[in-house]
Amino acid sequence: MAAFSARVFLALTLTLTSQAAFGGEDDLLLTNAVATLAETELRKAEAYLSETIDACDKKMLVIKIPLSAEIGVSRRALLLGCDYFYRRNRNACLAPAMQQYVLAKRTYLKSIPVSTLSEVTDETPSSIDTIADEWWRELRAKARYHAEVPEGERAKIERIPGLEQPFDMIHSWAASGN
Amino acid sequence: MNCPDIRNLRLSDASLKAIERIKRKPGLAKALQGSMAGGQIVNIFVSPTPPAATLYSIHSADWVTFATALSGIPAIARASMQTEAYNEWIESQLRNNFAESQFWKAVYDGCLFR
Repeated sequence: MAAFSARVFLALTLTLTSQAAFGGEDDLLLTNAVATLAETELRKAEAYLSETIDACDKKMLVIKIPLSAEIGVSRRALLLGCDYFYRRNRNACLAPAMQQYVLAKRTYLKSIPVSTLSEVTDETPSSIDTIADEWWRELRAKARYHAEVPEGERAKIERIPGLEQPFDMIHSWAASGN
Repeated sequence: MNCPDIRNLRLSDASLKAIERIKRKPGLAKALQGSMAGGQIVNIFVSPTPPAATLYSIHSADWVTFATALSGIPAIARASMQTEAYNEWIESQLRNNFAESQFWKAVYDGCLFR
C-alpha cells in the first residue's frame, strides 16, 4: 500500500511539474509574441510621427507679423500672443501622430518582460515625457497670454492674418523687425 | 544660409540646462560627433562635461557644419531638439536677451531658412 501511494505521488508530481513547465513555456511564447507585435506597432507609429513632423514643418509659413507699435500693443504682448498660437497650431498639426505614438509606446512598455524594462526605459528624457511637456507648454503659453495681455490687446493680436494656421514663429518674428 | 558670428555670448542658467537636456537626447551626440570636425558648437553639445558659464564665440562656419549634422538626424530627435531650442529662443526674447536668442535661433535650424 505504501509503495502504491509512493508511485501515485511520484506520478502526480511529475504530471504537475511538466504541466507547469509547459504552461510557463506557453506564457513565455505568448509574452514574446505580444512584445513583437507591440514593437511592430511602435515602429509604425514612429514612422507616422516622423512623416507628420516633416509634413507639419512644410506647412509652416513665414507670416507677416506687424510691428507691435503699429497695432497698439506692447512687444511682450505680441510675443506672448504669437507664441501661444504657434504652439497651439503646431501641436494641433502633430496631435494625431503624437497620440498614436504615445499609445503605441505605452503598449510596448507594457508588453515587454519586466527583466528588460530598465534597458528600454533608461532613455532620458522619455519621448512620452517630451510630448506631454509640449502639450503642457501650450497650456502654459495660453495661461500666460490670458493673464498678461488685456482682452482689448488680445483682440488686436488675433486679427493678424496667418495666426490661425501653422506658422514659422522664429523666422516670422525675425522678419517682422520687432 | 544666414549664419551669425556670435561673440562673447554668456549662456544663462536656463540655457545651460537646456543644453544638458539636448545632450541627453538619444542619437543626437552621435550624429553631431560623426559630422563635425571641431569648433565651439561641438564643445557645447558633444562634450561629456556640462557647458561652462563662460563667454562663447561661435563662428558662422561652425553653424554650417551644425546644419549639416542636423540634416542627418532622424526627424523625431531633430524635432525634439528644435523644440528645446524654440523654448529657449522665446524665453530669451521675452527677457530681451538678443545675443542668446540669436544663439537659439541658430540652434533651431542651423541657420537654414526654409
